Amino acid sequence: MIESLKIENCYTNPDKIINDDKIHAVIITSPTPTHINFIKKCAKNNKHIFCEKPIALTVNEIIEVINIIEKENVFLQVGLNRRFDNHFQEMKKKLEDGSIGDIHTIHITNRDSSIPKFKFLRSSGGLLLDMSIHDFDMVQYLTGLNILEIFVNGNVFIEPDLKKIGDIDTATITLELENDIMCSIQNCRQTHYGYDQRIEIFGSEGSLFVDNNHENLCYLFTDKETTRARLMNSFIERYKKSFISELNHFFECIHSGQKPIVGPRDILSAVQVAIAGQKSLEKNQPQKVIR
Amino acid sequence: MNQIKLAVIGFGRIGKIHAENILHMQGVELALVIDPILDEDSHLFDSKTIISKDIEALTTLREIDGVIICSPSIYHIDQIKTAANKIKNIFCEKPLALDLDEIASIQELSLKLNLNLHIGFNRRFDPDFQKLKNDTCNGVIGDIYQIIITSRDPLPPPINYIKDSGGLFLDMTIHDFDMIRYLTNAEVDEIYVKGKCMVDPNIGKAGDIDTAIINMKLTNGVIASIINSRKAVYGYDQRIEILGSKGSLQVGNQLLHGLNKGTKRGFSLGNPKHFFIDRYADSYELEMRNFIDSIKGKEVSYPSVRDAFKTLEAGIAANKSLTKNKPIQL
Repeated sequence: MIESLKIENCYTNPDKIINDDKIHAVIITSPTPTHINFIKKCAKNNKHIFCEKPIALTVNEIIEVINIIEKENVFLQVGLNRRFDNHFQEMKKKLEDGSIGDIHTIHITNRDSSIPKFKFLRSSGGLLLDMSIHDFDMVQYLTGLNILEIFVNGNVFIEPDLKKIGDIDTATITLELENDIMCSIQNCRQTHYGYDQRIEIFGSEGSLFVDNNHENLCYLFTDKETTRARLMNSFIERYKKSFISELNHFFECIHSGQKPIVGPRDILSAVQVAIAGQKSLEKNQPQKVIR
Repeated sequence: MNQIKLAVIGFGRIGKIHAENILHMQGVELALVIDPILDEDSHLFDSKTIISKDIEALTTLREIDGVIICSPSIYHIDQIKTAANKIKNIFCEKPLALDLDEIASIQELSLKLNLNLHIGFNRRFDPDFQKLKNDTCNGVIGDIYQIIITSRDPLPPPINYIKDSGGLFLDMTIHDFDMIRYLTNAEVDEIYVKGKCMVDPNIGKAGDIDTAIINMKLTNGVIASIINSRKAVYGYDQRIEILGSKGSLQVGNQLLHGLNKGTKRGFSLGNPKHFFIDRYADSYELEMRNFIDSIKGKEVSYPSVRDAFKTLEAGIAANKSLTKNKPIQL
C-alpha cells in the first residue's frame, strides 16, 4: 500500500513525524489508547491535529486534551465524519431553512451489518461509546442543542459473551434535548441486510428523512417478487465521501486559520451523554447528562 | 344457515363504516340500527333495516344474531351487559372501557355466558400487517430483537373529544400496544415514556399530551418502541418495522396515489393516505367478515376482552411513567 501511494517518508517511529519541522499537521488514526500521548506531542510541536474518534475513553482525558489544545496555538479536528455526509448536510440545511417548522422529535437508526469479533467488542468501550456516540453527536449537531437526559433499554441478543462484561449488542435509547425535543435511537450490532443508517426529523410543518444507500441500483422483477441488493455493507462504503469531505475541511482550516466545525468539546459532549447512558443501563432509570 | 341478522348500536363515524360493509356482504342483513339522535328516515339502509332510538329494541324488536357496538366508549359496558342477556355474538369497538375493573367484570360475564365477544382492534386485520405477522411467525427474520411502530394522526381531534378520550395513551397508543403484543406474541413487561404537548397548547390545557416516544421491554426480551404524534401535516403516518436475527421486515405507508413527478426541481410523490378510514378500509371489512364467520360457527382468532385488558394495563402504566419519569413494571 505504501509503495502504491508513493509516500516518500515512512517511519515506524512516530516521533520522526512529530519532530519534523516541515510537517504542518498530523492525522492520528492509531488505536484509541495511544491518541492522547500523540495529541500532546503534536500540540507541543505546533502541529494541527486530526484525530479519529474517540480521542479518549474518559472525560478527564478529553478535558486534558482540551486544555492542551487551547494552550497551544493549534487546533484539533475530531473524526466525527458523519457530520460531513452530504445527505445529512442537506438535511441540516433544510432544517435551518425552516422547511419543517419546529422540531418535535428525531429518530435515528444506526445498525451494523455484522457484529465484530468479541476481542474488538471488549476493547471498543461498549455499544454506547463505540456506536451510539455518533448518534448523540448527530442529534446535537443537527439541532445545535444539548442532550439533557437519556434512558437506555438494551439487551444481548447476538454475542452472549457481552453479558460477562456488562455490554449490550442491541439498544433502543430515548433522549430529551433542550427545547422539549425528544429522540429515539435504534442500535444493533448485526442486521445481515447491511449497514442501516437512517435519520428522520419530525416537525410542526413536515418531516425530513434520509434513507439508506443500497449496494447497487439494480432491481429484479419476477413472477414471484421484486428484489434488489442489500444495503451498503459498512461505514467504509456508506460514508466514503464524508471521509474525503472531513479531510478537505481540515485542510481548509489549516490554510485559512479558522477552527474546524468539530473539535474536542463536541466529542466531550457526546462522551458525557454516553456515560450517562451507561449509568442509565446499569440502574434502569433515566439519567441527567452531567456536563 | 339462514340470513344472519346484525344490529349496529351507535351510528357515528365508525358505526357507518361497519354498517356500509355489512350492507355489501352476502348472507348478512343489517336488521337494526340503534342511535338516540339518528335521523329515522336515513336513506342509507335497505327496507329491512329497522331504526330505533332505544337500546331495548335490541331484545324486543327482532331476533338478532350479532350486535356491533360503536357508541361512545362510556356506554360500552352497560350496552354489552344489556345485549348479553339475549345475544351471544358481540363486537365492541375499542376502547372497551377505560377502567380495568370494568373490563374484568365483562371478562367474567363473557366466561359465564360463553360470549363470542370481539374487540375492534382492526389493525390486526390489515392485509400488510397480516403478511408481517405471518412472515414473523414463520421465522422469516428469525428471533425478534426490536420492533418499532410509528403511528401519527394527520390532525388532532377536537378538544372536547380529547377531554373524554382518556388521553393519548388510552385513545391512540392503545392500537399500537395491541399491535406490539399481537406481532411479538408477548406482553409488555416494562414501559418508559417521554411525552410532551408540542402540537397545540390547548391539548396541554386539557391535561393531555400530543407527542410521545415509548420505550418498552417485552416479556420475551424484545425491545419495542412506539412513536406517536397527533399531527403529521403530510398525512396518516402508519409504519411498522421489525428487526430479527436473520433480517428485517418493514411495512411502509400507503400513498394517496402512485404518481412520481420529476421536474428540474426534483421529484414529487404522493403523500400517505389521509386518515384511518382510507388507510384501514380493508381491515374494517375483514374484521367484520371475521366476526360474521365466528357467528356462523367457524373457528377464528380475534382480539378478545383479554387484549382489551392488557392494552389498557399498558396504557395506564404509560401514564404513570409519564408522571414519574421512570420505567414502570407491569
